[in-house]
Amino acid sequence: MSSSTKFLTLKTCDDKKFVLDEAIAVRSQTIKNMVEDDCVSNVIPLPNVDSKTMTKVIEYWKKHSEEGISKDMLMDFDKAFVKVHHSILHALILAANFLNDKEMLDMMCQEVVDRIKGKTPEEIRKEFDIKNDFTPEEEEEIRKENAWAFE
Amino acid sequence: MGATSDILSDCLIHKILCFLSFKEATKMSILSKTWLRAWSTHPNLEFKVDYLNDNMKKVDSIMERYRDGKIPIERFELSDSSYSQEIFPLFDKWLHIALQNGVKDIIFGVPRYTSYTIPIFTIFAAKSLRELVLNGFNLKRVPLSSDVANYNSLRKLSLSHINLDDNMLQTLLDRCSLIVSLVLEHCFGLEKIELLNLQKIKLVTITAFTNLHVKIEAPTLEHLYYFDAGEGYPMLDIINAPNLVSLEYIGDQIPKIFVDANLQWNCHPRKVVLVTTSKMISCFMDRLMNMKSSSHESRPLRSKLQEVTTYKFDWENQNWHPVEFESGKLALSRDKFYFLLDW
Repeated sequence: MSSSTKFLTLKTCDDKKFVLDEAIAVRSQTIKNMVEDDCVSNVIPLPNVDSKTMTKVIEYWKKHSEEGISKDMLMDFDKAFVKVHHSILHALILAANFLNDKEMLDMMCQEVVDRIKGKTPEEIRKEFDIKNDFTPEEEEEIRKENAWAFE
Repeated sequence: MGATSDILSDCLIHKILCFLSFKEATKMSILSKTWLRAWSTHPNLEFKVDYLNDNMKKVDSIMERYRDGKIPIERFELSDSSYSQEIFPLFDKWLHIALQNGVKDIIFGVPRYTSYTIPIFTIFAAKSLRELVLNGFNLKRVPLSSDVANYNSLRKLSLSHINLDDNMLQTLLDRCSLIVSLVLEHCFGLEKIELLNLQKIKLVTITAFTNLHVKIEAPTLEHLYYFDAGEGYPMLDIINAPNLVSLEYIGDQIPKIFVDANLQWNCHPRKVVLVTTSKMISCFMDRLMNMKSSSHESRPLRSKLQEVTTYKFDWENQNWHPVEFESGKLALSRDKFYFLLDW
């Protein structure tokens, strides 16, 4: 590594610290803005991200920053990366959104969409733990209103 | 672990829904109140109105909701197979709402020979518009606007099965001189197409049932696709296209500029794809040979043809096979060829 390599310390909401090469951390637009505005003194707090999720995010960032990695290898990595329980998927979406990493956020949203497609509303609710907060009457009303989409 | 609707905000669910088509997203409106809220501001609207379905009122109520709530619309896709005149005032109303709400892409198709007059100049005047794809309209009914303003937001214009005359096309092109992509597909009533002042054009697709006189002077043009089903001789005139990378031509006659030894090519495409008769292919190959061997021509080195690699399309296996570049020696019927040219 060159002598100019700078490291940043990120602190997650559960007080775990991650030391990361600045060049990798700036995949997050949020961190990049902080670095550019020179408001990074020693530790960057990430109040919305826990350490378990951050470990996954860093795994993704490091893989996508590897030199000479082929497109096919990245595709395989991404495919395996998104195969997680929906609760982790949601945590990653929230993290990617907070860190403002558009590439990662798009990939995670696409995964949600892939899991939604071809399923009935009941199946989707089950898969994603979505609580149906409509009364039966309300649900019937919406179903009638949007019947054209269910044809 | 809480339910999704507690974890993901409206904003993120909205983002997820944007990866779905409007119809697919609509199905999600039934999941929960959060999903319903997120769906209700989906920016990409897509409707098919048809007579049997009689869904005009439904579409109208959705459009009114977008209007009243000033909900941003990015994409408005409408296809009509209702064959009903009753709906024409609604078309005007919906287009107006879409334009008011900042629509960027309009994709609008109607049955051919419709008597609906699309307010094309109102649409062109929209500052936010990026892409306009129209199918089936009769623009001969539209009075030419005397307004001379140049609307520069449009990046893609696609006209398919449109009835219009040369004057209307020129008027439209004059108003979107910064378009990057232009598609003119089976339009009726055209005799000539002149692409002379499109400063950013990269992609041009022209398909025609009858021979057109096409004149192209486009320094930025990179890809040209030309399909000519006319019976006579195609009149394609490329005055200047130094950045043309690929040329695809489909038709029984190849335009003179590519085969006549007395005419200079005004472009140096790297790839040429031809689907034409055996006779035309050998004429074309002769011309390439001729260009390759004519070392005496006093042209800049860059524009001299150095090498030709030829591939023939294998329809059965759907792939390309390299073939020897020897004119007159290939037993050909109408076929598809791919020439890689080094200049």
